[in-house]
Amino acid sequence: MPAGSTYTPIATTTISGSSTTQVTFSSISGYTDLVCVANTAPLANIAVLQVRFNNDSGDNYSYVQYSGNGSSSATTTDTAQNYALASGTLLDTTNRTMHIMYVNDYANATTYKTLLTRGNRAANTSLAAVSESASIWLNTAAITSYTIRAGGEILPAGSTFTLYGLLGA
Amino acid sequence: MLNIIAGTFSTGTPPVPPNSYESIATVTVGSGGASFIEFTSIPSTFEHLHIRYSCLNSTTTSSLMQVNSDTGSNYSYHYLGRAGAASVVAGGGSTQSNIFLGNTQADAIPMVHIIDILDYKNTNKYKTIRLLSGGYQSAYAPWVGLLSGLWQNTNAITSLKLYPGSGTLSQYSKATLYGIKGV
Repeated sequence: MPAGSTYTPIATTTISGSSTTQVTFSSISGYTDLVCVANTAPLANIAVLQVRFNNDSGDNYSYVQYSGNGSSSATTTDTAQNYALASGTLLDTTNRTMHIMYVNDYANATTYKTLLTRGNRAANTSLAAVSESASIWLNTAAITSYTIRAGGEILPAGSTFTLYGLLGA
Repeated sequence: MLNIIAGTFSTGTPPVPPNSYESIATVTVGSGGASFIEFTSIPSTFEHLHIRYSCLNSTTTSSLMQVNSDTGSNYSYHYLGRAGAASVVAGGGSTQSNIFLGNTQADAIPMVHIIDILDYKNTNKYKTIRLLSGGYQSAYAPWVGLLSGLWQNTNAITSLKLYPGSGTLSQYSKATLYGIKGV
């Protein structure tokens, strides 16, 4: 039985200034799944978009990724990292990027959590690229905070990050 | 809707059309496990369907889907992704008895599938699905892929079955079906 509107924006952060290195959505509760949409402006340096849950900066994440730029493809995988991978080096110095990141059943306190992402860097040059990645957070705790960072780089002004909650029947 | 999209490009804030996304049903597998998860009597009041499926399996196998209880060889699929220690992999199959959603291991780490079925109630064309699938289930078998599936039947979709190729779905496997309305 339909249960009414279930796709709810929890919070949006738009970066201003030039000193922000991460965005954290905290006190997350009340939904079934999470979707985060990140739109980044060009950075000062090429960087990796990363996610951490519950402020866990330990080596408790592993990931696999593949990407393509129209002429070649690449893959990577790593274990015991201190972040979940939203995309490899899609963040660059001249183009905006868009990422959609999914976490199913984030409040489950029994199973590990999987982050699934799609990333795009649209450009009218050879810099155009796409990527897809799956990461695991080796922790069964319910996710209550969601941090997005660019590997310590400054997140540029005009970048936007929106977290949505989906509520299942 | 157009105003919402225009607002997106002007402000950078992603759109959420009000009341267009509804939860139809959620199934969570209990302590005894289950052979499958099935959504039946799917209402025809939406334009598209969206499924969010996290599966835990009792054995190394594949994740599969059937439509309207059709067990005939009426399905095809294609995938592009990264599997195990391989580089980029691609493949597919035709005249299948189900749609392949991805490989999965017997593991405590869930394999996740984000599935979209567009125009599911249209009775004038075959049905196609797309999905994003992935999980880092072990150092030897991480998988992430983009897949498409075809059901060669023009009937409206009224039921969907998610199941493993062998073994059972373990406790805490979970699938949620959403309906998306059009304007």
